[in-house]
Formats: sequence, C-alpha cells, structure tokens
Amino acid sequence: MHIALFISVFLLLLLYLRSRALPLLSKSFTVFALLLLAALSAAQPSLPVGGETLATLAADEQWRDLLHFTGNKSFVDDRKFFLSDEGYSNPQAELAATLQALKKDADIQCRFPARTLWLRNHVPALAIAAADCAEYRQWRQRVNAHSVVLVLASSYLNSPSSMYGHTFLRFDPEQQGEGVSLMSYAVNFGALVDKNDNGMFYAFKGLVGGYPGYFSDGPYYEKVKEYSRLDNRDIWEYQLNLTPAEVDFMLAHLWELKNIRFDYYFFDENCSFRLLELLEVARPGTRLIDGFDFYAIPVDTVAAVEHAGMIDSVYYRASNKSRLQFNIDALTVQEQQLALQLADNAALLDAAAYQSLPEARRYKVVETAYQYLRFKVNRRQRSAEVAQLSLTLLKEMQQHADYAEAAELPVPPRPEQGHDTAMLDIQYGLEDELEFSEVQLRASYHDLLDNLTAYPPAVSLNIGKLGVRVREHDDAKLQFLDLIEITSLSPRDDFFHPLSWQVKAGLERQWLAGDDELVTQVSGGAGWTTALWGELNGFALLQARLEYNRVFKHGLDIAGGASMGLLLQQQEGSFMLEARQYRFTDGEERRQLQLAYQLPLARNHGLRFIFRRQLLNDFAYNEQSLSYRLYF
Amino acid sequence: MKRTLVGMVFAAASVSSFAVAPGGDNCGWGNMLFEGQSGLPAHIVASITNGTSGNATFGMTTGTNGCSADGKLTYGGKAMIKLSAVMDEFSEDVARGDGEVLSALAVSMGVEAQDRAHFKAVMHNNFNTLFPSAEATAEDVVAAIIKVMEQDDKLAKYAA
Repeated sequence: MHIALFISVFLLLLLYLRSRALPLLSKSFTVFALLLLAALSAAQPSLPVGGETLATLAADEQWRDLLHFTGNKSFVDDRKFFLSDEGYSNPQAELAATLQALKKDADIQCRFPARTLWLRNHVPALAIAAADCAEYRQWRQRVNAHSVVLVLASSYLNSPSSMYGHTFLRFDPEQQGEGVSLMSYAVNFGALVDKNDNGMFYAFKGLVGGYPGYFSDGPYYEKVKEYSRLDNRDIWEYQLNLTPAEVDFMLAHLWELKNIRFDYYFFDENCSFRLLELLEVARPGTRLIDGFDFYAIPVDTVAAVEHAGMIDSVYYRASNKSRLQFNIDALTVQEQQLALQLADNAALLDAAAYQSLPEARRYKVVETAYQYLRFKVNRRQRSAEVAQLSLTLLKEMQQHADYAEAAELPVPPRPEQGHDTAMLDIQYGLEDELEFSEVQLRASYHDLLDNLTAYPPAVSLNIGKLGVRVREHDDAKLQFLDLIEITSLSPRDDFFHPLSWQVKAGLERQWLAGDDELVTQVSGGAGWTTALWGELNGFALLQARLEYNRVFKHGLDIAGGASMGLLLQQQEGSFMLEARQYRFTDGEERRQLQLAYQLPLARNHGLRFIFRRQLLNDFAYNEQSLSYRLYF
Repeated sequence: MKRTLVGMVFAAASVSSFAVAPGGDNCGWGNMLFEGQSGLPAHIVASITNGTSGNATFGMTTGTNGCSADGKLTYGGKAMIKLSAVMDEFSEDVARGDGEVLSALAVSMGVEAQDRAHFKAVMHNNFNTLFPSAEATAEDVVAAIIKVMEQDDKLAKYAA
C-alpha cells in the first residue's frame, strides 16, 4: 500500500511535469501512467483506461446518446439507470462507474448490454468474459428482429386532439409474408396513466409531465386493434434501412431502458422524441433530435427520419373506418340504405329488396352492413342481440364469399408530405380606409383553410398562434394570441353522426366603447355539419363565450350566440363563409360576417384573402386583407 | 440455498405451464365472440399520453394476463396467435375466406406457405363448425380449429 501511494505520487508528479515542461511526452505515456496508477490503487478494481482517454470516451456522442444526455444532463429521470451517483449529470463518472462495475459484476453486462457492447468496441483493454444473460437472450429470441419499421398512427375521426399522431416501433423477422407483420413485436413509449384519474385532469397532467413515461411492448396486432379498429386511425408503416448491427445495438439499448422512468411531456418529451433518441443510438451522427427542443410533433419526426435518409419504403394500413367508407362509397344509394337497415335487422336478408340483388352485390351489401355494425358497437359493451346479428351477417357473407374482392384502397398522400407544421403569415389590409399590416406566427398546426394535401379534412388545430398588427398612424400592437383553437366540422350522413365542435382560448383585440382593447376570452360551440352539394358543407353551431375586459361592468361577462356557414375544402383551394353572433348579458351585441379563401401556391406557400364585416352596438366596419403564408 | 432456488424455479415453471393451459383462468382464452370493450380511456387523454392504462410492461417473458407475451398462446402445446384479441377480424376473415388475421393464424401455427391457401379454404368451409353460435367462447373456437385441422389430410400435421 505504501508503495502504491509512493508510485502514485511519483506518477502524478510526472504528469504535472508533462503538462508544464514535457509537452512532447506522448499521450500513450499518460495512458500508461494512469493505467499503472489505476492498477496500483488497491481500493478500487482497476480501470482499463486512463483519465484523459476516459474524458475523450465520455464525450463521445454515442456514449452520451446511450445515457440520453442533452447539454449537461440526462433525460432519464430514474436513479436506477445510473451506476454512478453523479451519472445523471456526469457522463464521465458514469463511464468510470460502468467500467468498474463490469469488472466486478457479470450481471452488469446483462443489465446494460449496449453499454457493454460499446465499451468492448472502444476499450480494447477491457478484458471481461462474456456473461450468459439468459433473460436478455430469451427476450431477443422472442423479438426475433431483423429490421425495424417506424409506425405512425394518424388522427382519429373527428378528434383534432389526435391530429398530432403517434409513433412507435415495430421489429420484423427476416421471413416476411402476409400475416407475418401482425405477429411482429412492437415497442411503444407512453405515459403510464392511472385509470382512476378523470378526464380533463388526466389530460392536463399529460401535458405538464405529471405522468411517468415507460417503454412497453407487445404484439403488433394489439396495436393494430387499438389504432385501426378502436380508434379508427389510419396507420403508416415506414420501413427503416437500419442494418442488422444497428438493429442489434438498438435492441441492446432498449433492454437497458426496461422499467426505466422518463417523465412524459405531451409537447416535447413524448413518444416520438424518445424514438428519435433510439434511432440516434442505433445510427450515431444522425442528429435527429436537433430542432425538437420545444416540441416534437410525430409527423415532423417522421419527416426528420426521412430527411436523414433512413426510410426505405412506406406501407399504408387503412383503418377499419377507412375500409368501411371505401365499401360504402362502392354501393348505390339504394344498396347503402339496405346495408344500413341490415346492420339493425337481419330479418331483411329475406326481404325482396335484398334477395333481388345479384349475388355479387348481395355480398358487397352484407359485408358493408357487417363492418358498419362492428363500427357502431366498437366501443360498446357486448350485447347478446348484437352478437347474434353479427354472426347472422357473417354467415350470409360466408354464403356469397365467392364474390369477395380484395379491397384496393387508394393510398392517400403521406402525412409527412403535407405543409410544414409551423407558419408565418404576412398580411396587408384595410380597416375601412385605414391601412394596416400584420405578422402572424403559429407554432402548430393546421386550420380549415390551410393547404389541404395530406391533412385530414374539416379539422383545425392551432396551438400557440399570435398576430402583431401595425395600423397607419399607430404603433405595433398585439392583435391576438391564441393559446389553443380546435374546430371539428365533420359532416353527418346516414352512416356517421359526428358532433361538430369548437373551442378557443386566448387574447383578442376588440373594439369597445370607441377604443380597441385586448380582451381575454374562452369560447366554445357545438352543432352539426352536413354535406350540401359535392364537397360543399354547411355547418351551424351554438356558441358560448366568456370574456374579460375593462369595459364590462363587472369585468367578466358571458355571451350566448351562434355561428353558421359554408365550407368548401379542396386541394386546389379552400373557401369558407361564416356568420357569427354573440350577445352578452350586459347587452353588448357583436355580429360578424367573414369570407375567406386560400389559394395554395406550393406545398409550403399559400395566399389568403379575407373579407370581414363587423357589426357592433354603436358602429360597423369592414376589414379586408391579403396575406402570404409560409409554412416552415 | 441453491436447492431452494431451483425448487422455486420449478414451482414457478409449473405455475406458468398451468397458466397457459387452454382455458386457464388467467390466460386470455374464454372471451366470447363479438366481445365488447370497456374501460377504455377517453380519446383526448389517450391521444395526449399515448399510454396504456395500468399494465404496460416491457421485456416480460410472460404477459400480464399470465400468458406468453410474444403474441402467441399455446393450445395443447401448439403456438397460436391470441385469437380472443382479434376475434372480430378473424371471424370476418373466415367468412370471407381470406384476410390478414387468418394468415397470421396460419403463420403462428407454423403452416407452411404452400399450405396456407388450403388452410384458409378449410377454415372458410367450416365456418359453421368454428362459430356454432354467437355465445361461443374463444376457447371453443380454438378447439374447433384444432379439430377441423386434425380431420384434414394436409393440415393434420400442423395440429398434432
């Protein structure tokens, strides 16, 4: 021990001299010195690398990725992921601790297979026997992965809050073929939610990080059931070009994240962000998470993966709802009515209206009826009558199955081919005779008139949008700040009966008692939308609005009202006409008529024209504007 | 000490083999045809958290329902896709005589590619045997599938 101490002091002295007076001494000497130092310090098992090499290694991007470092701390919010007490904020301490632990304990190899693999490759002096990690080995056998698919579940029917989508990974075996991918292994990152939490609180907790996030796994068919059947979301499968070695390393790292907690944040540290980290681990240097500092919209992350050249091919898996819609559209109006009735009453199978159809058409009608019935009862508890009806319809399908045709659904544009999700709008206009210009910025995502390609129709979701207006003879003023705006105007028809609804919260500039004031408001509405002619829809909603401003007698007042209008959405341009009225309890009345049109110029460019007439208690004015919209 | 451990492993193994026995209480079989859904979180919550309620697990060799977690259950020692989870789609595929879930069942039971079309046709032709009533349970359906396969020259070997 004394000798070790003596040699250590001597070596440290040498190191000191090297740095001062002997700058030409080689790095390998330092490493040698440190190795000797390490070897001689009896208190700890020795490290196979020295301090400087350790520092270089710890700064390696892939090592930092393995620890989920960004800046000077790790994203992992779980003590047991780190072997060093400082591991959370010190990648070098964690590296040293891992090296030491590997020497001492073979089990560490089984807990951290990716770290072990990486260290074996980067520290040739690390001489440890390979441990037999039975549990890990069994898991890898079960996953049986040869390639990786990035899966994007797109939005729900009539549910704009799901518009951001969801991503997870699927691991495919080498042997492909129909039915094989359903049996593949899927890995999801999501919040672990408490079933007893109630709705809004639950959602709020999800937004602010109140839930722990974990990786979970299961067969892909469970996921398909969840998204395709229960949620009616189309699924996009992006085949990644990861090599078997990269897949191997990703899985080794996934195993390290088993039961490891990350805080789940809806906006940034969400399902998609964690997947980008995994892809970075698999293929270092892709820098996928750059640019997702504040929020990671799943479709944007898919675009980033595509931009990094990691996508080989894309497969579209239509939801049960999409396939049902496709089948409905293939029926005549009379056949549609039959399908609707059959989904209620199987006795009509014997009726002349059905029996007189050619057999091929009977098959189509009964298949549609069955699928529609299952769609209707999708989220309901089982009932004996519905089960009996379902079986009867299936038996009828079976009778005419010779006429079954594989449904060749047209593949819609891919979600990541739509306009980018942030937006800048530069506007010039007139308020009566007064000129103004306005600049708008939106963090995300899409409104009813934005370029439609690859976005679901009839939904609007704006989170974080503000406008600053400069009027003639006036300073720049905040015109509005929308924290959130969601609108859903899905049309009702014989088969589907969605509710149309709208919510909005934020600040707005409003003419009040001869002055323009910034008011705080929360408003919402509900109603119906129906197809009028072709793609032209009409809508009508009852509205309510809670507003705070300086002019109201009590500051805060509530208004009832209504809105109605026309909406025509097309790839070539979208048009909306809306009339809206509010009456507050203190008598203030506001009416507005607005006509708006957007002409898409290119994927990320558009021109928008707006005409608006405002009718207030004491006066009325017109506003018209032309704006250029840039999506980025 | 070691002996105790070995004993525990054996005990655990026998418990788990009991659990994957057909129709075992803990093992996913037993759902009726056209089983409904319950207790699903509201859309808005699900879309914000992308979570699963309660029983998300990772890397387990047995699933939370006591069954194999690799998407296959065993029935009489044969690996099989967990049909109760996809019974809606499966019954529709059998009625049609084709479909992805029907294919997945064939794949999970090790039916060779050249016999899959025949497998689908046999299942389709025996629709009424597979689904004798709306009250049939997933276990009944699985038992009927095995029986139908056993009686078919080409498919018997996959059911054995």
